[in-house]
Amino acid sequence: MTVRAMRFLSSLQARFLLGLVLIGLFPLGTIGQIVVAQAHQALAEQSARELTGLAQGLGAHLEAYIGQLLSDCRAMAALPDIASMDTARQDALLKVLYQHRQDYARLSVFDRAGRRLASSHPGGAPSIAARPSFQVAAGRGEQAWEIAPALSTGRVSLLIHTPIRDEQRRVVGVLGAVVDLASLSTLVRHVADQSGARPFVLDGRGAVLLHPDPEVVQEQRDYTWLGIPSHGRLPGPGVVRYRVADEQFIASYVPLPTTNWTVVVERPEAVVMAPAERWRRLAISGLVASAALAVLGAVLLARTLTRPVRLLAAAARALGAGELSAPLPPAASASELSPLINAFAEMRANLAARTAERERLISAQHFLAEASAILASTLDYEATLAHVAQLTVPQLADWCVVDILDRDGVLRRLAVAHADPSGTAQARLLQELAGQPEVPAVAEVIQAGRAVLYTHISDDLLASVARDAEHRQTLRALGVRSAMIVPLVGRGRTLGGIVLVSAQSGRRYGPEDLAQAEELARRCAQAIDNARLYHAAQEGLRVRDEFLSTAAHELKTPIAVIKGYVELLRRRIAAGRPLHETQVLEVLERQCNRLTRLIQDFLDVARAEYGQLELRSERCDLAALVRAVVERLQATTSAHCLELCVIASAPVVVDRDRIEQVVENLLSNAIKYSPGGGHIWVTVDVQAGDAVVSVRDEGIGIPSDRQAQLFERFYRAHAGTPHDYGGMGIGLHLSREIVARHGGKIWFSSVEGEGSTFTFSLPIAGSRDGEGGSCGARAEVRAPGRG
Amino acid sequence: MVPEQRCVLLVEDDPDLRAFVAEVLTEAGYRVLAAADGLAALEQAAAQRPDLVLLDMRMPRMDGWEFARRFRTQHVGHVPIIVFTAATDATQRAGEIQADGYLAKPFELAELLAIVEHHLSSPA
Repeated sequence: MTVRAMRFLSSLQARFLLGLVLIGLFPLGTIGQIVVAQAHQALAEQSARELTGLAQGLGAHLEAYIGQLLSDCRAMAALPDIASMDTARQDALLKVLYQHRQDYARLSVFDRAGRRLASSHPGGAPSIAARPSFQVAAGRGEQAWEIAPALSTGRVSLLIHTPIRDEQRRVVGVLGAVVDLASLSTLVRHVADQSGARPFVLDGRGAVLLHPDPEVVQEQRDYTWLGIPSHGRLPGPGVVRYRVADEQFIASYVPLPTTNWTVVVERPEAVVMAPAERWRRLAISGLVASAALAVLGAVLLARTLTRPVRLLAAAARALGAGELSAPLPPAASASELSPLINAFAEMRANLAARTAERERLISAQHFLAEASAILASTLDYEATLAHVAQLTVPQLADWCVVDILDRDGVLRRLAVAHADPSGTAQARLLQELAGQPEVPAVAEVIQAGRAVLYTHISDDLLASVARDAEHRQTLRALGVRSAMIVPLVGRGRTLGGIVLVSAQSGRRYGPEDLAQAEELARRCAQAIDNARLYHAAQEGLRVRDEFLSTAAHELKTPIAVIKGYVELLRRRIAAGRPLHETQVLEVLERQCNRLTRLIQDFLDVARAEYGQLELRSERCDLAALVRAVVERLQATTSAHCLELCVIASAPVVVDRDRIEQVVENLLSNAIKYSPGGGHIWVTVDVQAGDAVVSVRDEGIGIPSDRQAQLFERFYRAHAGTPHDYGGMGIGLHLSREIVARHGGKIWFSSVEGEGSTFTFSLPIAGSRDGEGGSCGARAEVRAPGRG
Repeated sequence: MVPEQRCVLLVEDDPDLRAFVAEVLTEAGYRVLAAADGLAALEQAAAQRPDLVLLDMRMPRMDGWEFARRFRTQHVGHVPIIVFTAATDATQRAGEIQADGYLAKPFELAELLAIVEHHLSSPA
């Protein structure tokens, strides 16, 4: 509880309230208090004045009345019937007088001794000789009065004694008049009724003479405690305050000099101060109202002050919880807080940007990891790339196209993936796209090996990228917005390209996306390269196995012949049959030569592999050399007609045996792959400063898909086909090695079913390198092997 | 020699080997039809139905596989084919064309004669 109170007190609102109270309400309250106090004072003074006026009025009234009574009594005492001292006449007159004067309770005539002679009323005290006022009247002949209980009525009354004089002015008797104080009190009561104040009259001793309450009069209640000075030493009028029966009174008093009485007019302070009290209440309620208003205002103000702070705090908490979009107070709402709000918003924006960047990176990493996993899962990269293309949508692109450069350099569309393949129109367009040749832009990227980023694709750009109007229409229908074309580069070679396109998602690619795409492309290229290397390795193994099998086949045939004849000879010798040894020995010799040549070929391949093919170069006539080989091979076939045409001949410095071997290889291939026989043209010429030999046949030709590897070691273009005529796949390989060692080149052109032309060139002696010795020298610097 | 001299169709592209096998089989009393490739062999077989085919697999113009396929469509009734090959796995080659037997090069003379005799003497 206290903790909460403390917390509240330490809050901005509480401080604000406190400040408001201190600087607003407290002075206001104080001023109100002062005003009220002054009002009190003024009221008290005004009331005192009013009461004094009342008292003075009443006093004057009383004095006049008593004076009237006194003069009335003197007049009555002077009446002849009274002065006659005839008791009967006096009696009758007094009765008449009493009838006419309501003021008197009783009128009596006494002799000088105080005996009653006549009276308006029968009975009563027989003697009043003891009364001081009587004594004054009788003794000194002066009218006198006193306040005392009347002997006749027993009630406190005003007793007036007036001397009665005869014609000689001697005092013969005394006229006594009793005025009941109750009738005087009526006068007082009348004033009280009129003014709302309570007047009463005290005698010189401080006891009540007149009072609106008859009882108080009869009690002659003591008011000396009022402290009103008396006994003839009366000061001027004054004001006193006192408390009676829990009631505070304010009273004015006025001394009456003639009677020595004091007129007091009292009024309860509550009545006096009623207006002040009303003002005070008004002031207090005003104060309370203004305080309430102030509190309300303060609360509202504090709230407007603290609301942005609270919103900011909530936003900060939300930020802590990772929520970045909690509402912020408008910066204009609290200008002092604006820098803080702006700083917070800025921080949040930065954080959001960083978070987005990090998430993008994580997602990119995740994506790349996933792509890598897929790429690593198999060596069938074509299926894998299709899978990866699917993976790029929709994360990286709305559609993705993968183009691959085939072994023969033709760009082939490998995969097309679309984020929403069900979008029928687009799917159809994509289907069309899948079958179409490459976009020039893609080809350019693949050629340059550098990625291209199209942040925004305008119609103009589409027009420049599209092959034709129809293609442009297709691209436009696809809603292409932004695109990236990244090359697939593996070990420095471009293997293809990936086209990533943003369409319906409206995404704009930036440098980060390009970086991610390039990384993806790098990994894809690596996978392709790995797969191709693996396939090449596999192919190498397969070729080697096939070579071994072929080599065995090639070796087994002559051995079968040799072995067979040896056994046959042994049988014939054993059976004593004729041997036909000349013929048999010829066959044996031929087959041995064949074996020797095969083994020599193997060794040559091995030497060529390690760069150890030795050349014994000498100057010779190329045309003569070729002619010799043509003649030799013409002897082995009757189905073929070998025609030599020497257009131009030049001296060359070559290893004669090796060049013969090349020509023989080309010619025997021409014969072998022209199973139907026919012409074979051999041409010797000089072209572009080189001696050139070409061999053209009209045979079966070489399928285009097998041409690229034709010079590879152990490669046999027709292996496993109906045209597989055996051989070990080393002839062309060796020929290329030999020609290369001579500084020449070998090439061919072939159309399947129409024939082939193989051509090799050799530098003319002296034209480039001078004598043949340099051939050997060049051989020395050749890198060993071909990797 | 005898009227019911049995006929062996020898299909082999190597001339020396073809000559040698032909000589051995002729000496053993068979009638030998020799062909350098499948196409020539089919022509020979069309002229005279052989009782047994000794077939090399790798040949120019028409290889053993193609020959076996065509030969079987041409000739109703079973003519045993013996694969005569230098391949490392002669059994596989034999299996490929559902041959009746195989003879791997190089071979023993006795082997050649035994396998030919075996397939000719068994009821066709």
